[in-house]
Amino acid sequence: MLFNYLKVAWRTLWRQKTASIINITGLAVGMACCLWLLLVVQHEWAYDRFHDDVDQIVRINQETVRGDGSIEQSALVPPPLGPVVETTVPEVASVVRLMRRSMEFTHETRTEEQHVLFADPAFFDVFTAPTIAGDPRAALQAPDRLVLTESEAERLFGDSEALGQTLTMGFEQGTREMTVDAVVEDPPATTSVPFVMLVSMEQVQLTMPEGFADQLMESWQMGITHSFARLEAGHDAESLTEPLRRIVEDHVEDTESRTLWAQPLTEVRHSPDISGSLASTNDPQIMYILGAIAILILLIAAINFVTLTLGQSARRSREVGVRKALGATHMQLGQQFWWEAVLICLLALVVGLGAAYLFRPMVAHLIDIPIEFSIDEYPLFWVGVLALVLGVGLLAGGYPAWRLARMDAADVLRGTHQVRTRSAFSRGLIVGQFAVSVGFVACAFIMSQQLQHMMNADLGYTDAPLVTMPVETDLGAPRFDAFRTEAERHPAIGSVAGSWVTFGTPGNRVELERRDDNVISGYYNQVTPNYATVLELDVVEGQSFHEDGASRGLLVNERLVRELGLESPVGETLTVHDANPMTAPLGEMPILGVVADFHVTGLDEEIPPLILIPHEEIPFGLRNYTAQLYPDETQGGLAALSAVWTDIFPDQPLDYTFLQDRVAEQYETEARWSTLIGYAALLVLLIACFGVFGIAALEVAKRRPEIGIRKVLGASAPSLVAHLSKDIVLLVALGALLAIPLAYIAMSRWLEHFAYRIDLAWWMFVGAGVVALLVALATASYHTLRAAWMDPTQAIRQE
Amino acid sequence: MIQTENLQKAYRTDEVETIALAGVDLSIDHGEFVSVMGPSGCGKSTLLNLLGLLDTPTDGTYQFDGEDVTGLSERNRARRRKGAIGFVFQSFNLIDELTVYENVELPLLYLNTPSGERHDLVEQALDRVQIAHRRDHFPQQLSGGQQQRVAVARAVVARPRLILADEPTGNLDSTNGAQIMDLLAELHEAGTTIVMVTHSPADAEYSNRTIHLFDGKVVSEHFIEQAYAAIPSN
Repeated sequence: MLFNYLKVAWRTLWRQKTASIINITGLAVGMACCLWLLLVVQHEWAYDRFHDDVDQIVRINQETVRGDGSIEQSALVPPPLGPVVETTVPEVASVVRLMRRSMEFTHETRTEEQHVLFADPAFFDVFTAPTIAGDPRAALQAPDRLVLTESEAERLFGDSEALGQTLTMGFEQGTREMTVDAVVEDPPATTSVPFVMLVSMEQVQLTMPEGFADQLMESWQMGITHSFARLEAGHDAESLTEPLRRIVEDHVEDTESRTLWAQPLTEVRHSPDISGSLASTNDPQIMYILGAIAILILLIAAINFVTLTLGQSARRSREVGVRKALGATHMQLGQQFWWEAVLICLLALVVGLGAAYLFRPMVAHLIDIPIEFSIDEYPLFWVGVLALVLGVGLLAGGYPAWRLARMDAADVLRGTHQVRTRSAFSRGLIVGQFAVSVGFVACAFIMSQQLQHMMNADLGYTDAPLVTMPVETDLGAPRFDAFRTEAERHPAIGSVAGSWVTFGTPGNRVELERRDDNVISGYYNQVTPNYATVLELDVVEGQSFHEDGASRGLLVNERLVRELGLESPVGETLTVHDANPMTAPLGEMPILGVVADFHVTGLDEEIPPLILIPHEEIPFGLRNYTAQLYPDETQGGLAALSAVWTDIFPDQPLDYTFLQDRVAEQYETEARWSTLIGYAALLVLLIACFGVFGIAALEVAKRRPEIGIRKVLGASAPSLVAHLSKDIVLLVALGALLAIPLAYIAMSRWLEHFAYRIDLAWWMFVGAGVVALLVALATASYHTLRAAWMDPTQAIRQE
Repeated sequence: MIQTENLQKAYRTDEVETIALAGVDLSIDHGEFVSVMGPSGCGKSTLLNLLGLLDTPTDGTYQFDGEDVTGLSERNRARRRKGAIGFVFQSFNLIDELTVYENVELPLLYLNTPSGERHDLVEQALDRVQIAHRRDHFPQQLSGGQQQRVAVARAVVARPRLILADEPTGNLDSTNGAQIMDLLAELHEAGTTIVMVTHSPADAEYSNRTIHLFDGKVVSEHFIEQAYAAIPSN
């Protein structure tokens, strides 16, 4: 019997090609989206689960309450914490501290930079990293030893034996010969602790300026290391709450403002609010949003299936009647139609799998999450796929199967059966489809508007091309004057300034205090005296720095003036508190001038209180040069910069970025989401229009006699098109009415993430509705126009 | 075989009630060939649907093979119908997606007949209506007469005790019509009970009793001696 069902189903599909193509294409697109989602979910779920007894691994995080009441969560904790936890907390089996540094090293004649993870020997007690060669634990106990991952060993040494090979590594405190002492397996991509090179934690001090290293490593004030712990069996993250509270009490001065807490390793990947993670994190909300998009697309396609099947029930009714007369039961008929739905779903799945595989790289790029198609690794995937086919079959096939099976045989055979292609249910579904379409179109439009708004916003400094160049910290300040003098001599280069940070980061965080104990939290950036001039910052009060560094002082922004409530800021003295021992000596400094607020980060963040400090005040110096070029001479300017760079920094390649590009980079996430929602809107609208196409065909076929009679009675073609399109207008309008409030709420919430945002206007939503309506009318017009132009005698003859 | 008493059927919409059958008393014995005649809308097809257990009466009783089937549920009616009643329709009502063979096979599938036996029965039925050479064709590839022969094969394949034919020659020319009537007559000869709705007095001549319906009631009935044998077939 099943064979008979499938045979009939196949022939029915073949006979009704248009409907079959609409159904299969729509469902395939929906399924491809769900398959991607399934793969992404599996990828995300797999994070860190490759470690043995992963439930017993935790990361210790630090929560700090800032002076302004803001709370900061960070994965970076004070360096002494690890050993204290290991020795005083019985629930903990071992603790590893980690610190990542970007290090320059030379292998043979090649110099390159690589992230090195400094780690305690307990690394291999806490994490699972199978050894390939050597003794990795011993390597982390001795100085000048390296542990490499298999792929890194292969990359550096090819087929030759890696053990015993040496690399020359440049530390802040001089170069060292490092010997490869062990090779371990590469961690999977799904790790929150990625590494290619491990070096003993003992040597991390060599990466810091001499004299500060000990202070930094012993300080309980600064979070600079990661601490991961393996718990004794039977304990979980909760059981560390009390021991960690006691440690804070015993060791930390400002007990009130700091809390240490343990977090299961498996939650690390999905904690985007905790800063300082070793690997990228992912907002779990993204998964919900992606899930909602995938399911909505599938739902829209399933609605097409339901409405088209119901629409065709007139055609199928005779078959139902005959089969019933021949002895078929409800159940048998229901099964038959359900199997038809399952067959369509299976075909859609095949197409969907192909599409999912083909377009995987594009989607992975779009959502910025890798989509691995190693299906054999994920047996659950196939369970998911099966559930998808049966689920959609049940969802989309169930109701039409039930409706068709319940038709009254006598009515059908007598010809009195009323087939309602436009039942309230079908119409409700179509309204739902258009509600989703209009919603997506509105969201896509508003997101792109916000993006444009941010990209084109006046950031508060010059419009001229600004080129930023990172320089090595220890060379930035000493060679600045030479670089600037030589560069500014060139006619294509306007001027050059230096700073600690550039666009994207506000600077280092500090607490700023006015004499009367008014403390606020803000940022500082150490800059060359000409910084405000080169960036063309607007000095609204007082003056900028003197080029000769004659007067000691600060430039502050307007936000800071407002926050501190300064009436005449110039001349006021501020106390700069910083936990960092290297900047702690700043102390009291007078305000020289006030600059108008300018954006140091994207428009998603508010402009923070900011101070600019002459770089001579701070031992860390300069890390970025910024050159202003002339708009018409960008290429010449770049060539000149390159020549000057080679002259001043002969050992380093020039790595420049246009500040304007950095601004665009800042909005990469927003741009990605905007594109994603744009594509989703396109897909949803497309699939909904497939449905309109199918329904219009059925509707016109059903109303041919009516159209013929209307034509005979004198109806014009335009009036007939209008008459036939009335329904579509109504359905889309209802859909828009449903969608607009929901889209308004969603977009208002989304815009709340941006400190500087566009205002929502009614026309954005109505416009989305009009777009959906025009597309729907255009789709239906293929059938309505043909109907309006047909020969009336033909229709009446059929009548 | 068939006993009805005061059989009534009314169709109701929100505003209108249409009486299709207004109390029909009927008795049909095994092996009879009965024609039902009457003007359009007199209730002929409604009577056939009720006798075929496709529909339920509004009032009255219906006994089929000695069992009261008046108030049976849809599921039980389907069960009684299967294998016991065969249908032939004016518009053939073959399923377009199935071949000739598969259309004829369908009632046996619903009866869960084992495949070997099914094959034999289908072949016999196709041979009987002389359409076996077209077994792999689809309905739309056949002429009207051929399609109705397939429909007859489908009606008889499960060897039903009763065949209900609703204007079986209504869509056929006289030659094809006569062939179909000959087939029905053969089945009757072989002992099958046949109830046929027809507008054609010539077709009615094949039966041994004709019932006339008017406004949902039996207004006359008469027996015909020497049924179809008197009429030469073409």
